[in-house]
Amino acid sequence: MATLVSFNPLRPILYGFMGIALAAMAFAQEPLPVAGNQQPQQQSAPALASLHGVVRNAASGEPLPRALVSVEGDASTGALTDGDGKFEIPNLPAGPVIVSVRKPGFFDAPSSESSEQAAEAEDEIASPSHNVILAQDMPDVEFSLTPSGAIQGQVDLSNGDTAGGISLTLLRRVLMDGRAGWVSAGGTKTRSDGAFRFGELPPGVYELYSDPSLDADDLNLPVQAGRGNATHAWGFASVYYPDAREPSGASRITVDAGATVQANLTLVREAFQTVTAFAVPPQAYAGRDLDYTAQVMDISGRALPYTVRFDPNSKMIQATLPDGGYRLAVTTSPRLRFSIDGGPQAGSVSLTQRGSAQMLQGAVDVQVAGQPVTNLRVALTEAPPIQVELNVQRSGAGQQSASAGQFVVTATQAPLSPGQLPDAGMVAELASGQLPGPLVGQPVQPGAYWLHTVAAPNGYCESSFIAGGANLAREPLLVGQAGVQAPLELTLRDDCAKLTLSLPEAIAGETPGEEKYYSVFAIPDFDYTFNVQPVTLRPSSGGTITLNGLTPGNYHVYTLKGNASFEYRNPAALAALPSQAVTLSPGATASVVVNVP
Amino acid sequence: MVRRISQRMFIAAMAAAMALTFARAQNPSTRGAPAVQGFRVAGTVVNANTGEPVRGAAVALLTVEDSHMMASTESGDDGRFSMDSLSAGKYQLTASKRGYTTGFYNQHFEYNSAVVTGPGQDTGQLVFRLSPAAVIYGVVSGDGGDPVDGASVMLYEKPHRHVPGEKIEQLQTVQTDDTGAYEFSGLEPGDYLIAVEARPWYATTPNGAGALTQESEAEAALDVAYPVTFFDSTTDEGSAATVTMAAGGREEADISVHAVQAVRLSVPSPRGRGAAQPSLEETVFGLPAQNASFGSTESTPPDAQGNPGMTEFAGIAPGHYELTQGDPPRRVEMDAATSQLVDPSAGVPTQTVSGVVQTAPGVLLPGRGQVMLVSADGTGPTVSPAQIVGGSFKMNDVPPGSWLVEALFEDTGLQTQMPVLAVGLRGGRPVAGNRIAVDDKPLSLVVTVSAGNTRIEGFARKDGKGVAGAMVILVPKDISQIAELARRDQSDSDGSFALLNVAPGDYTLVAVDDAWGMDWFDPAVISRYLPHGMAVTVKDKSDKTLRLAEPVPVEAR
Repeated sequence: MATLVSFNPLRPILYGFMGIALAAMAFAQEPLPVAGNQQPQQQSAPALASLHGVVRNAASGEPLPRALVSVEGDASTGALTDGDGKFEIPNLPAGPVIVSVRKPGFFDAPSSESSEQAAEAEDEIASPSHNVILAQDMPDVEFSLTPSGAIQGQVDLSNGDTAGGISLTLLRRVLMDGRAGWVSAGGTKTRSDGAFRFGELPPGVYELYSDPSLDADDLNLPVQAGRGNATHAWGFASVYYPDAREPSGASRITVDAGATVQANLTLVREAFQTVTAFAVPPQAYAGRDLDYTAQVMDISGRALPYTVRFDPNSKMIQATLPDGGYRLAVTTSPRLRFSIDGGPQAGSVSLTQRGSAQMLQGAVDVQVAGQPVTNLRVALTEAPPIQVELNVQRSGAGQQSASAGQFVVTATQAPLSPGQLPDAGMVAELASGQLPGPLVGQPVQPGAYWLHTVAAPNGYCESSFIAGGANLAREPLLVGQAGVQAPLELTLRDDCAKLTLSLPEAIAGETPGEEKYYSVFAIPDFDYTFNVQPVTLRPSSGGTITLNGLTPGNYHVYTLKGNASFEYRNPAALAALPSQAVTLSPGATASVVVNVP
Repeated sequence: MVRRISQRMFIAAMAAAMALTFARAQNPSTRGAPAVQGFRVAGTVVNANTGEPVRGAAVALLTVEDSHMMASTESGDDGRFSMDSLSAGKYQLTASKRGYTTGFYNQHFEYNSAVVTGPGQDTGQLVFRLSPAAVIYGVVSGDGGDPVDGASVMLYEKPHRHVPGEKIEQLQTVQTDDTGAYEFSGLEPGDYLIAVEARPWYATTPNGAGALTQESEAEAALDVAYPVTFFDSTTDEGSAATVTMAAGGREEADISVHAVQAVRLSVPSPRGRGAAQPSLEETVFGLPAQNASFGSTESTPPDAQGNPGMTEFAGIAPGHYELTQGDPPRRVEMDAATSQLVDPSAGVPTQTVSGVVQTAPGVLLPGRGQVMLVSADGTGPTVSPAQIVGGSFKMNDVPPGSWLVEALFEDTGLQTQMPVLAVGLRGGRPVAGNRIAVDDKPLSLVVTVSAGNTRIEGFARKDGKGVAGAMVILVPKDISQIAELARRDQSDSDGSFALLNVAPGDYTLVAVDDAWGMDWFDPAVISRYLPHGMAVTVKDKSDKTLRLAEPVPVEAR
């Protein structure tokens, strides 16, 4: 029997783990309103300076040879450190420059105080840089790089086979919006000898799990209708390090700077069963083009990494699962069709969207116990879009400048069970709009979400955000299969305050060498849902910044070295750090000279 | 033409292809009523190397129409497997096991034997040979023995001797980890070559400097590149060491790379309006490389004084490149060993090759397709395929030389090769075959293809019994056309076979037992079997299935 080999194979349509399918709009972080001089001071002396100094290993203090120190700019230039960690880059124009320091196996995390801080901000790792003020008589500049860590181990299989090609996923604890969460730190596969390694890890806290693996992973094909009883599969369920079947049983792995942590997993072979369900859209959707996304979750609604096969013609959903309790969740989105228009020199691409923007969703719970499960039905219903009502508390102190700017509510996935950190950590726009409201958004997948408000600089600030009596500053929004039941009410006020933050006189001036800078957080003492974005204070940009659009009330100001953040929604984390109290009165401006660490 | 792709892709591709190929397969229920308990497919999974039983292999029976699973099981400690209560019909049998290459029953390249169940069919004693996968692994290290993180390690497979027209092929690319380690696993036996592309992590290419500008010593120290390096640590493509892998073999292939002064190519840009920018492509074994070792590309447009613009390819490794420059574009094959200002007149002007594709005189090909030009000597440069829309195609930038015209027909995402029967210049006389010569003029062609979707079905038999696993070859009467017009299949468990996309013409059909590995396309070899073959004529427009009344006799090799 011959088979044509296609160049563009019609692969079985496989829907894997898709994460939450919130509207894929990028959440543009509005820059905070700032006042004051942000321009670097002019210092156009024609003098030439030399950047010189030493690069050290932050963990050991030892000098680091063959690290690359480079000065960014039009004529990018750099130098490798010598055997004593020393470098010199001559003939640079005096004035401020941006310097980056790199070496494989090391991270540059300027001024980060703890391993957790080093782990938290992706930006910091992607583009570390230092501001250096160059002058003719330069002191030595010292940089230090933090050695990366690694997690490596061996996967063993209960049947004695060598565990080649087992997929593993690593999660890293990060801070988002002042709360801790988990994001994927990458995936790998075991080598043919069962060994695996995650290298180049920033110091931090991790969790590790194996993805489910069938013996016949190469043949993850749909089972013919009615043949579930004739198909028998074996494989390995997910194991959360060290030996848990459930995500909640995962142990945390702490990776210190320069450390390699050994993490071995043993997978136990067991029978898997074919679970077959059919998606049933409402009558009104018959014949419409819809893209279906099917996902296997645990009973609490947390996504599990099982592959789901979907046949768009019969709307059959199939998964091969070990014994246990599961939820099969299905959502739809309108299908986007692409057609490429043009002749042999095709160039133009036209995009046509068909179907409605309505999202359908449904789920069915299933218990797998040693038998195939057939003919489940997942009834799909229209998911109602999110709607947020706006109220405004008018006051005499209302500012002339109050205008109908844009308001945005964002959502971050919240933990599904107490004590568990949220997974995914995805931030998505939930609803947006202008006064007088309501803010309208997309339907949201069932789950728990922390909501945050973002207001354009328009003279309004948040007063309260509640959902049917629940205070959204204290508890997450729960979205069920039928959407959000309680009305969401965002109350705004127009008597917002301003806060001027300044560096102390003593360090406000520019001195040759690496410029110290600080991240300053103004954290309310009262309930709030808005995002607190740190402001960066640095001498070269004037050392002072004014925040406006702040809700009046009592605040504490936290000042951290460098580009840092912390778990500011956790009272214990706040209590552990020094702070300065300040009261913002309605419509007034307060000032704080920050205490630098 | 035989196209091999990676094993994992292969399965998916076969599954997809089968959906098309067997859409009109017979309904199993018309082949006689099944017994009450249905039919059984059973046998033993054995290690293809040692013949020992393989326990715990996943065995599955798939529908040929759409690759749905009809039954699946695992082999026991004695390697035995059994699947019961099957209706009469034709199924694909497949087995997989960690550490082995997944395959179909009795698989040879893209051919295998389907299993036919039904009254009188013996499907209870199948021997499924599972081949242990081979592994190539190693470490890429740089100067001073430092591991090279993120290097692209590319695996190439040399052509198989008994597959005509096959060329060296890039199979996989993997990245080294932070310890410089890489691994290619799941490999089939074969002859492999390994190449590494990487950029020194500290490489910094100064911008704004021309080819003839002297770099400072500090700049030069960082303006470095790793040349493409082959196992066993040579930068000379011709000296690359072949790694021959047997089934289940493990070979270590460490490669060290050395940073050298990077090269800068300065290419004057043409002044013509809308002229294409110069482009540079690195080639490895004649195939486009990953360009992982590229530094930067910078262009300055022509100025108002009429000075030509300049494109600078900076920070590149010394190596073999294809540069396209000028207007009309000229193709320059160059070994760039040092920085240089490229002579604008270097290279040979490329030509436009356009034309129409017809299935018969005056009948343009309906639907969509692709025309490709393949270097006739197998080593020439590559040309991007052109879409056939409304029967016409146009390809720019074809270097002079001798080319073979190939055509693909696209239907529901699948591409099927169409035999090119004749090529002529527009207004000229068609010439049989598919060879063209491009010299110093644009060409306008009339390409005649066979719609070619005649399907020949039959049985390979010996002494009245169906023979499984025989190589069935449809050989054109004009044996010089064997590469383009021959069709092959492997007989299924009952001796049945199907030959697809057959072009009209006169053929001889032969079936040879145990012929895998035979140089069947060699006229001297195949002519030994032709006297006992069966004459078959496919008429023009016999656009349907041709069922052979007589079985094809199976000849011993």
